[in-house]
Amino acid sequence: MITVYHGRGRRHLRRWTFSQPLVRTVTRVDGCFSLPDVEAHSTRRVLEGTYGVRFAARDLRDDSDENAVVHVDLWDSYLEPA
Amino acid sequence: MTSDHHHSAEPAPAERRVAALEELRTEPGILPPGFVDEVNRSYEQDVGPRNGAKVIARAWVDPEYQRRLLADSTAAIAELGFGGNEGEHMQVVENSDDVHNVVVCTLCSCYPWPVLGLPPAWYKDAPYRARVVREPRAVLAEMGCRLDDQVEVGVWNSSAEQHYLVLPQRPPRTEDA
Repeated sequence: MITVYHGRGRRHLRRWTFSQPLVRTVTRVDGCFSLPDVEAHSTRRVLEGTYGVRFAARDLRDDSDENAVVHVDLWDSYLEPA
Repeated sequence: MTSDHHHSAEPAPAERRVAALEELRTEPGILPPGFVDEVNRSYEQDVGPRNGAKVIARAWVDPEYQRRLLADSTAAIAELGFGGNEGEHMQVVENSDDVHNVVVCTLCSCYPWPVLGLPPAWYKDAPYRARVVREPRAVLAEMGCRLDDQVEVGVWNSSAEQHYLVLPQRPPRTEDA
């Protein structure tokens, strides 16, 4: 189980915007890749683990389809062990 | 015929711009000669959805290949000779009676080029990218795919390095006679 943090900021972020942190389960571990939030703004490369995380579509918006799930690939720094 | 309506061998303005840009890259040696022509040829003849169709058809007729495809998609796709840019980290997701999958890149237009070619315009449109997450049933229905309410829709968002290919169910009555 992990806690997914919301992303709010002026810089390039691949975080999704949640109104509050969500506790969900990692469904897939994908290895380390360059964090785009850093790569977009400099020549630095910071490798971070990425993970597949499953959400109910309703987690993301109250008016989303009921019987639908959204699989999002997220970077380590967006997450925290729950 | 008016004097300005004629079919000459003069290249169009866009063609001249492309040629000038290519020259700016090839003359200083940034690109090798013929590089752009080779990319064009490759995307016209080698890369496209016919590659993905071969992968899916093989999975339909070969259960052991299907098992490998779902276990290590990148390696199984490479068995058929497909891979490279935008296909380095593939995940094949399987449709079933209970789950129907659909792929999006909500951020931009990430797409598995080696097996599906370049993304179609609708895939890159902001309304598709927003709506398929919020109301995937309606979007799929508009595309001619109507799902029963009890079928779960799985939306796969290519937000990092993984690229997704859906393995549809084999259509009925397509078994060998």
